[in-house]
This record gives sequence, structure tokens and C-alpha cells, in this order.
Amino acid sequence: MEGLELASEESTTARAGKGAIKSMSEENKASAVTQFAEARELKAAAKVTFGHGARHLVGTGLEQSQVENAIAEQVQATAKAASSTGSFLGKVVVEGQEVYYRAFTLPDGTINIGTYTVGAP
Amino acid sequence: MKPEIRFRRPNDAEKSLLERLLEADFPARNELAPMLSELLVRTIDDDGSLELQSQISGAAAVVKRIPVEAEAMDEDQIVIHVLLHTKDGRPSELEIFREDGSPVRQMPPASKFELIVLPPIPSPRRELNPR
Repeated sequence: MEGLELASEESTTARAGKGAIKSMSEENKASAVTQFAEARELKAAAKVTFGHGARHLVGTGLEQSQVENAIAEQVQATAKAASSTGSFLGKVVVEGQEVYYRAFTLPDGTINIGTYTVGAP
Repeated sequence: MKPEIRFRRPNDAEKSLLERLLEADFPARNELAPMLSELLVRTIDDDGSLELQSQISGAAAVVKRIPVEAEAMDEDQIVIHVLLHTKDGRPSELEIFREDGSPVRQMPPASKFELIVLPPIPSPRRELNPR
């Protein structure tokens, strides 16, 4: 598959939590580890992959990277705020043009953007 | 499937898929039908998506870029989507992709595809009696 892949990011909060465990008593370690794991799960950005929507940008003046970065940013924000994502349609505005995309959540949590178009599909 | 440089006549499977899409009832279907029956195609990606070049002149009064689409399961139960794109009222692309982004393994027969006509995305609400 062609396109952009955004790696998962471990949050600053999660990294700080990992170091703090060293100075804790044994009884608090298990709890801290659990909290760290939860924080990491909550803060990790979903991996976003792209199919062949880029060819629909021909003649629009938009660049693949700017469009796909905007979509990835919005999809990751949506995924962070939602308990589950499934399949959904979305819209971003890039350089004043509306770009509509179709997102599909895969079993491993990756969100694949099957296609996108400039203007309402 | 390899992308092609030259346009050609669609093969039987491609024709069947286009005909299957026309079994749906959607705006401008009757105008698009003759355009889709006389066209040349060119494979444009590994999934078998086609660029469409109708040999019939004119423009259909479509209300959406993608007036009709369809979906069916691949052999591993991942959904394959087929989207008919139009540009300026003319068929422009038959887009095919799997939800997981990997290449189509085994294209199902056209009859296995479920037809979908999505409603147009509503335009922003207009202000009534603007002053």
C-alpha cells in the first residue's frame, strides 16, 4: 500500500511515570505500573494508513502530504476522544477546500483511510 | 494487477461489475447507463481500479461525485469497496479497495456485491430571512 504511516507516540506523561516507579515502595509499584499502562494506552496516537485517495487531488492544487497530515491529525484526535471508532466518514478543510475521507478501524487499532475526495462524495 | 498506460475495452468481469452498479436506482442512472456501456478503461492500481473513458458524449445530471457504490467480502472476509466516481457528469473512475488497505485477494463475482446509494451530504444550513 502506498502512502503515509504515522508511528504511535508515547506521551510525555507516560515516560515520566516510568521513571518515577524507581523511588516508590513495593506496594505502590503494581498500582503505578497499571496507571502507567493505562496512560500509555490512552495517550498513544492511532496509526493511520492511506490507500489510493491521492490521485483524486489532481487538478485541485492540494499536495498529498498536506492533505494526509490533516486527515491523520483529525483521525488521531477522533480516536483519542472515542471509546471505539469502527468505520466512519470525515471531512477536513485544507487550503479552503473540503476533503472527505472514509476511515476503517482494523483489528490492531490501525485506522486505514480507504480513499478520499476533494468535494462531497 | 498492473497499472496500464493504454485504454482498452473492459473485460467480462469489469463489464459485469459496471452493469451490477447500474442495477441500483440512483439520480442520473439512466443517463449514465449508455455512457458506461460504451467505454474504454485503463487499470490504474494493483486493486484493479479503472480509469473510465466513455465514448458517448454528454453529461449526466448526477447529484454526487459517487452516485453509486457496492461492497462484498474478499475470500478472507475483509470488505472490498467499489465506488463509481463521476467528474462533470461523466464516469471517470471505478475505484476498488479493501478496508484494510491490502491488495484484493479474490474479486467476488459481480452478483455478490451489495449495492449502496448514499444520500448527498447536506449543505450548510442557510439562514432564513437574512437581514
